Amino acid sequence: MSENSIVFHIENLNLSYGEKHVLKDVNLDIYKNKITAFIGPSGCGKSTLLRCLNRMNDLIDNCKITGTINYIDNDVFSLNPMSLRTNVGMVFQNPNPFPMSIFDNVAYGPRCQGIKNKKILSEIVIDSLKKAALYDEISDRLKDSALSLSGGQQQRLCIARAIAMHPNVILMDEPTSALDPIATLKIEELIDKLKEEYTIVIVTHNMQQATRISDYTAFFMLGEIVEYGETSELFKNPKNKKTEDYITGRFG
Amino acid sequence: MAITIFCASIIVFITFFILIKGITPFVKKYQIGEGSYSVNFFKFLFGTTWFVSPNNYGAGFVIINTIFVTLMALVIAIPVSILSSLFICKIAPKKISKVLNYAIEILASIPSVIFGLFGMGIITKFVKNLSSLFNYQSAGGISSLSAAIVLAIMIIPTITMVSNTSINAVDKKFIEGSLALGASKTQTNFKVVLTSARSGIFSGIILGVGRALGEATAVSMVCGNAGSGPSFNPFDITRTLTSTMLNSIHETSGLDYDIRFSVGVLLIIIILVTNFLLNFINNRIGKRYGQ
Amino acid sequence: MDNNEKKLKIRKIKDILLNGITYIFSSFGIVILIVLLTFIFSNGAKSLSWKTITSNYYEEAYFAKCETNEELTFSLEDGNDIYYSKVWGIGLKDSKDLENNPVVKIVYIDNLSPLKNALDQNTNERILVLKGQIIKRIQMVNTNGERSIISAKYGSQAIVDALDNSYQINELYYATMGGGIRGSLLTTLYLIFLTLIISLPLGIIASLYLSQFAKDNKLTKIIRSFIDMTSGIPSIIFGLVGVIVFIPIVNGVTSSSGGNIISGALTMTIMLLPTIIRTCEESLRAIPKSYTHASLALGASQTQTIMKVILPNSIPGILTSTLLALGRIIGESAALIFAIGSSIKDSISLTGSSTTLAVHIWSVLSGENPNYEQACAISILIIIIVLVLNVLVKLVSKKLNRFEVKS
Repeated sequence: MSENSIVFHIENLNLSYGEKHVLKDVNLDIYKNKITAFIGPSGCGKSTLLRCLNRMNDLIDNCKITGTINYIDNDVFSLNPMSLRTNVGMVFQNPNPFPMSIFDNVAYGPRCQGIKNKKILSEIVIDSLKKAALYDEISDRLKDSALSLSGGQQQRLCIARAIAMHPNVILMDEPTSALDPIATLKIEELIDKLKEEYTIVIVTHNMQQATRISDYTAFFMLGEIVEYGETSELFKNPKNKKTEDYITGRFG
Repeated sequence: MAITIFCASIIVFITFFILIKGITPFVKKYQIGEGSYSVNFFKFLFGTTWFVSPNNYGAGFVIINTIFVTLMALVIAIPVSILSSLFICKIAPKKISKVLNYAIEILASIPSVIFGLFGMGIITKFVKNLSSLFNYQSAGGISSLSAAIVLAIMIIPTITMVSNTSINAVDKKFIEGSLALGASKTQTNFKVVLTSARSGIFSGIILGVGRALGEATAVSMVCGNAGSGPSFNPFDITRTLTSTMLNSIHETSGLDYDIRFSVGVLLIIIILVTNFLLNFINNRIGKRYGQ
Repeated sequence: MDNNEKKLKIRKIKDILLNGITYIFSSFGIVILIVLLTFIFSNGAKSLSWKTITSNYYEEAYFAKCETNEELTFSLEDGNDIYYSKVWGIGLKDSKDLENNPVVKIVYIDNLSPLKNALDQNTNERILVLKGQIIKRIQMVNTNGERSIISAKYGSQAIVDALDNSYQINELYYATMGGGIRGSLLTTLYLIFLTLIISLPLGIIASLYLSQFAKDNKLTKIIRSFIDMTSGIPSIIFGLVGVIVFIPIVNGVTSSSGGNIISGALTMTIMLLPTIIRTCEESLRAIPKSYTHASLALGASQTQTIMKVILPNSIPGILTSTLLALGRIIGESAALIFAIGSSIKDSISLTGSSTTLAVHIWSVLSGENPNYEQACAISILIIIIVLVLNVLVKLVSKKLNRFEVKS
């Protein structure tokens, strides 16, 4: 792995909410155009770490962060959070399209950037919807409310919305946990395809999903990384006893 | 049980009695001077003058003026209330938002007659100065603009309080989603929070419109009760349905008294129609975006 | 990157602009409130006193006569805009009455003043001339034996000069100051008392029915939506109802004619019932079902359960609705102009027309010479009452929430 293919370089990251110490000395590298999965029991800090990558934790009061996160050689905390977030998109656990039309949803990000030209906007929207494998299903109802879509479609719309910003990285916080198996499968296929263009970090509580789609896996417990490596290695021969216990289903 | 039904049927019985009394001026012959008169229904509906004389009870312009004043009040009140509500719920630090919220609550509980007093004492003076800036000689500031400002002050608390509820109810996931797309906090507030809360805000506006149309005492004190119209000059005196009902109310019988009930019927009809229309629009908007 | 930074800058400027507008607009509410309170308190505080609250609105006129002799003189020095009559031992000051007309007010009477022995012109009985009363006109005989008449419009200095020139007052036309709000205050109190007595039992029974007995059927739904609709009707319409329905009923039963406090109370009742029913019902629903079930399980009858379990627990709700109703009654004007009347009265009876405090404000303002000072003085009273009610409602509803906190 060459040095320049690292997208995120995390060093000695500590995070606490008030008295609660959530992340402890996290060190991690995330590689370009790979899918990195964060797994672990709930409350282990995997989502919190994900939210550090695009500074969504800024919104929470009394959240204290020490350590460094570098995004392609830039310190994340010295970047403008808005431009960071345009480079690092995010998809949430529950599909959260805005209560507007499908078109407006996808065009939201570019519009916030100040793009007003209708032609450019509609190009971006159609392109993003195609990349999110949604365009064929809804090409004739772009003016409809985004909330009229099914759950899986909504989540793909959210992915399209993130893609419309032309990000380098897409963070996904348990993107399929609220969906049925068929919709999940579609999203997983989509994620696999997106990997060619984007670096993807995905939080999941579903170990099968991690094995199916990810290249690297980090296993978290109680705010610490227990083990991090290539997915096939980690699941085949876990080096740590706790990892083995978790992936064989002894707890979690 | 019987009491409950009685309470509920109040509205039916109100409509019934007022309707009957409201029709009287068009049916009954009133002895005035030498002759006996009744009011011509079409003249009443479409007329453009209002004097104490059976042929000059034309409420047509009064209806138009009432709607005009209400619209002006809305133009003032809507931006103020929505932005106040956004500020209270999303922007202001906790202490300031508490103070502002309390101020709004106090405004909401001040009786309308005191707003009328305030209108006569302060707002008309302000409007008078404003009109002289435009080289217009207003009637001491008594004008449709004064009435609109008084009404606006009275409905701002209503709209703000309802908007507060609906803005606070906006799901956090929308806000997070917007921020994650690189939108600034302000962009999020204006593009996502307000659009997500629009249905609730609209209900607040509907309540405000109802209050503005039905408000009587305060408006009657600053509107001047014009004798003819309609006038769309904001510095001109005006006449609203409610001010007509309260204007020089000394007699308690006769045509000039009974005609107030016909105006009351008009008022009820206009309030019902606007309410129905606005609710219809609100439902359409809500349905369109699946809320 | 350069282009990006420029874009970011534009966005920042736009954000600052939008936020600025928001700050300005949202400050409106508080600015208006401050201006309103300043206006009312600065204009009204002066004329609000215990005397205003307890005295009558209208002047009461008296006619007196009085004599004095040359030996009696008072050593009093003019000052503070007060002019003293050395012959009659009284101090006079220019002042204004209700309609803003200039009047001359008696601000001082010496203990030995001959006016203490004034006699009523008609009955020849002793009559009191008091501090605070106003002189309207004096007819006197001066030292040259000439008759002269001087009225209040000449000012206190002229009157004092004339008085010091004469030893005999043939006719002293004087009056009480007036401008008090005792009558309107009494009407308001009567109205509150009557309205609550009628509306609370009705509202409580109706809300009990809706929360405990009503089945979830169409009829209940219709009842509910009717009650909701009633709360959207503007108050002036209720005034019309008062005129059409309640005034004739009350006039038929009692000796009254025209608007009166009873018809006003009935009008307020139908106006307030929806609010009372809603608030009470909410508080009744907040009572956990387990309380009722526990009581029934212990063998209590339905009536016993209601009387011993439900009603005591709904007291905060009933209190809240009472306080809300109080605020509405005190502030209501449009409906009461129709249902009780719009001319201010001093002698109050349940079957006679009069004004409440709010209508009093409307009446003094809708005349030719609006009396802002009195209107503001009453407004201070009303605002203070309303604010106190507001705080009380908050305190009570905190108590109301105790069920939610526990569960």
